Amino acid sequence: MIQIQEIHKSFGRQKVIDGLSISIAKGELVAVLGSSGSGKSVLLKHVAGLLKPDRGKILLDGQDIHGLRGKTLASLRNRMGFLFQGGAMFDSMTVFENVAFPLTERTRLPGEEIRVKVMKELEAVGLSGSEEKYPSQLSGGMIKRAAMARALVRDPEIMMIDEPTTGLDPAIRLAVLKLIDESHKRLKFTGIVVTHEIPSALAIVDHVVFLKAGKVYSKTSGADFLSSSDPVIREFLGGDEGPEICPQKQGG
Amino acid sequence: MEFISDIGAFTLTRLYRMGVMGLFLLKSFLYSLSPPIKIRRVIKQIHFIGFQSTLVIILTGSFSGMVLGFQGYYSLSRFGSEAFLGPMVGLSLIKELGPVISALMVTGRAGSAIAAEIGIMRITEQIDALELMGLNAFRYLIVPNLIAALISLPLLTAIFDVCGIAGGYLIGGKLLGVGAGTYFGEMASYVGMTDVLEGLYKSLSFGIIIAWVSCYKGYYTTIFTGFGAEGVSKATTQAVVMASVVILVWDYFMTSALF
Ligand SMILES: Nc1ncnc2c1ncn2[C@@H]1O[C@H](COP(=O)(O)OP(=O)(O)OP(=O)(O)O)[C@@H](O)[C@H]1O
Ligand SMILES: [Mg+2]
Repeated sequence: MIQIQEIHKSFGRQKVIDGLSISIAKGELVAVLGSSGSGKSVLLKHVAGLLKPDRGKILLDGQDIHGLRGKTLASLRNRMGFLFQGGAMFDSMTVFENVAFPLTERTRLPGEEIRVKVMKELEAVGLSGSEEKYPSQLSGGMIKRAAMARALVRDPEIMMIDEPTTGLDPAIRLAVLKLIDESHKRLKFTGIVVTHEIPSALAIVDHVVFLKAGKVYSKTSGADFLSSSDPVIREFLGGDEGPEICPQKQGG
Repeated sequence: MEFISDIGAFTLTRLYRMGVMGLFLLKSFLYSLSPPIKIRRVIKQIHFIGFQSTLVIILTGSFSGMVLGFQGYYSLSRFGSEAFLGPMVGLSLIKELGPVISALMVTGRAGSAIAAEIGIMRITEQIDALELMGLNAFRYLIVPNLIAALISLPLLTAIFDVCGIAGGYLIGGKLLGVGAGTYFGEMASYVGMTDVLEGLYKSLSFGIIIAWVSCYKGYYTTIFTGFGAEGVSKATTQAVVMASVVILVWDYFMTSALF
């Protein structure tokens, strides 16, 4: 379903992705781990076609995303949900309008149906009652959750999720992970979730991909990753990788 | 050698960006001509670019006209031809000052805001989010500004001209005693349709320039102008400076072509 084949990407002199390959079967959810600055967000943007690799290809359903244009690209992206690390909410619109936007612009659903669907998504992320607020009136965690609702509202077949839980409090973190798990089971989307949420996030994914120096260092199951004896992985799990890593002892 | 290759690299970058800017305009036009047009956004931008500029335009127009009344009267009275104050004020305003000053005022007021708004949408990834929904950023962000500027600029210029002519009358006609009959009568017989059309063409092209330059600068924040808040502030400044320069240079070419 998603095949990332030997991609390379440099920004100026900095090589961020250096011959990275991942292949994800239909319906699989893969966690991508790696220290801060290891190119996880850059990878997701490549899969969505927002960044173009210097070399290599990315196939979605057998189509090279960087070879698509116009209507075909739009219709492929229409099947994709993307959660940006910073939320990327439209700040001139309310939360309701933000979440409804993909539906009002890309579907012919009647207004009432859209309203019902949007309210359902907002309830699922625990934002009922905030629908008339503007993004600038929300806390960082609320923006993240509203953006999650917007990404899920079109029932995507492909999901790119960039750090869904960073900046949330422990209880809500678990709720968001549960939401991802449930919607994954319900929609059967193929997806990548970038996360620092170890170990709780590893329970909801099929594989764990660990990035190091722009390459895939290891691809394992969640349990194998946690019990790995590889010194590099142990060091990564041992924390001390940067301020963005969340404390490890929580949830369960 | 280093020096020569630096010059080469600099020239190539400039040429490349000019190409990008040209394509940006072309794309904006193509999308403006192909439906769907986002009418609600167009109206919102007309409100912002046009309606909210009226007070500024009324003020600057009136005062420009009043200054013209004084200056024109003193220059003309040296040749004993104060009677031509009306045509002088009318022609300067309609052919030149109306379109140019209105455009510069709108650049300062709305052009900078457009560049900042689009630049912020770029750095906060809202433009990427739009594209990931399968939507076209040009249709949502650029085209409404282009159409709104095309509609607003001629109207604002007309308001500017009217206020300026009234201001000139207040000074020349009332205060310095040229008289309404002479002021407006001579104006009517010397200012023709071609002059009005020249002003109209100018204001239309200035509208395009304002929307084009400020949208372009905002859209390419992070890519050409640098990252973060600093990138946006640079984009905004550059938009105002560049649009003003392009307006004045283009005005010269149009004037010499229409002369
Ligand atoms: N548009 C860009 N231009 C230049 N460099 C970039 C750009 N985007 C990312 N980078 C660089 O690429 C590297 C990887 O960035 P990326 O955002 O993918 O990190 P990350 O793995 O997502 O980190 P984090 O966990 O902190 O979010 C960083 O060093 C960053 O400076
Ligand atoms: Mg990231």
